[in-house]
Amino acid sequence: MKVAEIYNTMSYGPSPESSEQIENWLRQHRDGFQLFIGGRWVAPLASAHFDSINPANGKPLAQVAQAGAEDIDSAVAAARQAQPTWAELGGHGRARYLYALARLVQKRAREFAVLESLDNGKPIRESRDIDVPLAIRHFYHHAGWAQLLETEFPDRQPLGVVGQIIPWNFPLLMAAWKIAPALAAGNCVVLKPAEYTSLSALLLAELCEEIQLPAGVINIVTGDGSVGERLTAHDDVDKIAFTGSTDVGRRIRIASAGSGKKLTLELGGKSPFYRLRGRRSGQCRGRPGGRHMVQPGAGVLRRFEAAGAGGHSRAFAGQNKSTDAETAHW
Amino acid sequence: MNAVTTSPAGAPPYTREQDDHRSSPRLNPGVDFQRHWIDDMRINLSAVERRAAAFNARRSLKREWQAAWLLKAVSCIDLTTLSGQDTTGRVRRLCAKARQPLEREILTSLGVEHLGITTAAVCVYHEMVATATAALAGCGIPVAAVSTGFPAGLSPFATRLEEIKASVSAGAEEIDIVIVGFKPAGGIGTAKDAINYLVLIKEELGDNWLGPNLFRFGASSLLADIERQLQHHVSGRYSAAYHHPLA
Repeated sequence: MKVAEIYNTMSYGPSPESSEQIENWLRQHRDGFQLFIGGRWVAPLASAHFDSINPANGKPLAQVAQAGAEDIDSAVAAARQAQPTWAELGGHGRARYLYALARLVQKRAREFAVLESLDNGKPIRESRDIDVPLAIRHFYHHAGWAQLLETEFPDRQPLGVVGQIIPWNFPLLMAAWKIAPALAAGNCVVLKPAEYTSLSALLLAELCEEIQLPAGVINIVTGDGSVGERLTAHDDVDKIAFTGSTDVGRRIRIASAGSGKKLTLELGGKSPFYRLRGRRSGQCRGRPGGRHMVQPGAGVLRRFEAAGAGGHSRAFAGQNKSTDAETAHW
Repeated sequence: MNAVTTSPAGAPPYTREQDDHRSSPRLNPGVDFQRHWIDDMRINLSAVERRAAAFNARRSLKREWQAAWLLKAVSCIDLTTLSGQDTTGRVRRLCAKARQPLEREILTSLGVEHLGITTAAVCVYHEMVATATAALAGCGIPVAAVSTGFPAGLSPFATRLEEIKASVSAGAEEIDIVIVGFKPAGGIGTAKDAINYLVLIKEELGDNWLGPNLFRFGASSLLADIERQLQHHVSGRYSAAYHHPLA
């Protein structure tokens, strides 16, 4: 564009994020991703794969493994085997790995952001400025807590093996929320990412290899809801942590009742957005495949609207000049 | 510093469409004091600071965009000298720089000669108004005078009124006084600062404010840095600080 033209419009310039590195990475895995179990990449026993779609163009980004019952069994067994050693490592020992993971995610933050945008469909501004930085901070934060664990919580013991099931709205960030505290406390995890958005968790697993995280501490099993069901019902899982829909949360509650499993549920779908009259419809443009969920704090945002442009949700402060609304919008 | 540039009484009312600052002087009609505007005000300072910092990290202004925004910054500068040591020679030099703020080669390379970019105004003490008015004769750049007991405005009201009248009759078209609005001044010396302010204005007030009729920088050394950045844009090399004509 010509300088004189920009002078008159005062528009911002384009801010393209190169997807070259991530495209290379995806090319290296063009034969399909595998499951990360016991520190190794293993093909699903049933050799089943499914497509992970780029919602921006509807085209497949990669082939993701569909874990079967035996794959989940071996992931839980790997976590079980690794857990005593991981716990004995002590808070400071575990913190070293969490710090290493935080630093490495930080080093490759841009790759994660591009991958997250490609796989989830959210704008790069959100993945780059919110999802990935927050994920990094969670790893750093819980590395710090791992160091303090023995002095601050001397009476606490790790639970053992934690099955973690996360949604598609903040794939890497959700993984960080689940993994970092569990590892800091001395647990080992079997993580099931959402089937729509498995790729950032798989990249995270490669980083676990790079920092030489002990085998079995983090296991990633990809697949559809059947993987979550199997994980929930597994006898050797001590805790289920789930973020997702209320319906599935209820099913998990029922399935785990009486089993002695600890349970953490973070359930959504409870927070409707309102759209004020008089707003331009362009602010509410949707896109097929755009997936997003943002929960406003109940009772805080009274009047606002959400714009869902390609999975980009944004709460605008409405006529009540709520400071909270203004700080909440991105 | 919060300030607004107003025009002498009797001028036609300002309209937003009036983008060209060289058109006839405008009068801010003003409003009565509204106590509830202040009473209702709640500001989350931490959030404001975070938001302000985030703008500059997130907005992409490189290459042609950077050049265009810097040109806009030039058009919003009140090229200012407010020193007890001001001389007529220095004021005349400042006025010459206001007429031709950027080297012709830079303008040609950017393809913007036809925009006729000048600074928004020249800002001086009353003592230098006549000198500046004479030096700017015919080019349409207004002279702004800080004729209200600058900087603190604590001189008697009658004295301030007399000072304004004297400056207006000496040729000043604008009087700089501190009321409300937005005029960043003092310590704005770099092109980066200028762009950050323009981004802030665009985000918070909208594109209509991105022009000299509603937004000004009070600065002098800022222009030199912008000129160096633009020189770098067109040549790929930074010029020495002494290369460009002084403001």
